[in-house]
Amino acid sequence: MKPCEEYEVWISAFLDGELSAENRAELMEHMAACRSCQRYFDDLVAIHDALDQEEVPVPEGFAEQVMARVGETEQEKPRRTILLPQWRQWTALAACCALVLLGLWSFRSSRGDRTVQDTAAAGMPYMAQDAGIPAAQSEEFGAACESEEAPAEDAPRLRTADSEAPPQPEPKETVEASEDAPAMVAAAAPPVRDNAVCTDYMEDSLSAGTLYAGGEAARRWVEEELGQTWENGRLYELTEEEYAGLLAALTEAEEAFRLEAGDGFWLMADTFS
Amino acid sequence: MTVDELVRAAAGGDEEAFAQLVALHEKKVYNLALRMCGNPEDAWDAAQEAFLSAWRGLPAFRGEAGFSTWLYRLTSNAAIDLLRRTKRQRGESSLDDEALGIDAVDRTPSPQERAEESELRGAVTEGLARLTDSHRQALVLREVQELSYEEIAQVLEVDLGTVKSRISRARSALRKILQESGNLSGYLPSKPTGTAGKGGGR
Repeated sequence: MKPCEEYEVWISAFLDGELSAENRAELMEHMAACRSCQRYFDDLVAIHDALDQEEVPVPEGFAEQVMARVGETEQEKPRRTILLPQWRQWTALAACCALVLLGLWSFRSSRGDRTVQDTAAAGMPYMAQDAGIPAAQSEEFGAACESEEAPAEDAPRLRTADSEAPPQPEPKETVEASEDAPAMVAAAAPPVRDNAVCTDYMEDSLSAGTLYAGGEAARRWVEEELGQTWENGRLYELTEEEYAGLLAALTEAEEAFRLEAGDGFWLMADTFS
Repeated sequence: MTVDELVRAAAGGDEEAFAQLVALHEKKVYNLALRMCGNPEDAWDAAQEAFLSAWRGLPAFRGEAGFSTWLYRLTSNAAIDLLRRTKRQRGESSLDDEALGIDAVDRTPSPQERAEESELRGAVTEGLARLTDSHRQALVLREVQELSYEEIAQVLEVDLGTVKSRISRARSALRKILQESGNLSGYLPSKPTGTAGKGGGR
C-alpha cells in the first residue's frame, strides 16, 4: 500500500478534477479506511472554500495609468529569424546524433564498457552531466532526436539562425571534465535536453533511489520546490516528478551529486563536494 | 474585433487596440497580482508592470500559448520581481520570513472589512504570503484564476508533473501554517506531511 503522502498528492489532484478515474477509485477506497486522509481532504476543502473569494474590482484610474505609460514606452522590435533550409536542418541533426553516439562510444571505451548506471548503482560520486544521460539511455538519443521538431538550430557549432525571444541559454560547447568522452556527451546534450521528446523519454526511464546533493542548486531547489528549509543530513521524500525535476535542476546547474539506486525517490541533504 | 485581431493590431503599435486588451484583462490581472502580492499597493504596481511588459513584448509575441496565458505569466513574474525587490529593500533574507507574514497582518483591512471576512479567509490570505514564490504562484493560478493544470503548465513553462507536485506541496504547506495558527481548529493536526523528521540516513 502507498504511504499517505502519495494519497495526499492524489487528494489535491482530485479536488482539481485532475485525477484519473482509476486513481480516483483507489483513493476513495483508501479514504474510506484512513481517518488521517479524510481529515486531510476536509482541510483542503476548507482551504479551497476560503480561497474562493470574489474578484476585487480594479481601482479607478488603473487603465488610464497603463495607457499613459504605454504612450511613453516604445515597443521592442522583434528579432528576425532566419529559418534553416530543410536539408541543412537534417545535416545539423545528423551531426548532433553523431556527436552523441561518438561520445557514448568513447565513454564506454574509456570506462571498460561500464555504463554510467553501473557507476550510479555502485554509489560513486560523479558529475551531473554524466547522470543526466545514463549511457543505456544515450543509445536511444539518436532515435528520439529524429522525431518531430528536430532542434537542429540548437546544435552547437552549427547554429546559424537567431532564435526568437525569449532567449534560450547558450548550449555549452565545451565542458570542463577530466575525461574527454563524458565532456563530449555533455556538449551534445543541451540541444537534446530542450527537446520535449527526449525529456519525456528520460523521465520515463528514471531509476529510483536516493540523490545525495548539497550544492547551491540543490538547496535552492529544496526551498523553492518543496517549500522546506535545507538541513544537512536530512532525508527528503520526493515524488517521482520532483525527483526528475531535481535531477534536471542539478544537471542544468552542472552541480555534482551522487546517486544510489534503491526503492522510492529521496534526496539526502549531503555536504560532500 | 476579436482578441486575436486586437493582439495583432496592438503588436503593430495600435494603442487603441491595446487599451481594449487592457479593459478586457485588467480585472483578472489585477486580482492575480493582488493574490500574489497580498496588498493593493504592490498589486497595482505589479499589474501595471505586467501590462507594460506586454506592450513592449507584443511585437515578438507569437501566440502559441494564447494572449491571456502569456499575460498571466508576465503578471506572476512581475509580482515575484516586485516582492523580491521589496524584500531586498527591507533587508529580509527570505520571502518566507515571519516578517512578511506579520507585514501582511499589518496591512489587513479596516475593522469593517475584517468583519466581513471570515477568520479562515484572513488566515489563508496571510498563509499565502508565507508560501514560497513557486508554490504561491501555482496555487493562486489554480484556486483564484481557476486554470487547468495544462494551462498552468503553459503559464509557468513547466511540465504537468511539476504543476501537480507544486500545487499539492503548496496546499500541504498552507494547511500546516493554518494548523499552527489554530485556524483549522476543527481538525486535529495529523502527522507531519512531507518528510520532516526522517533525517539521519537510511
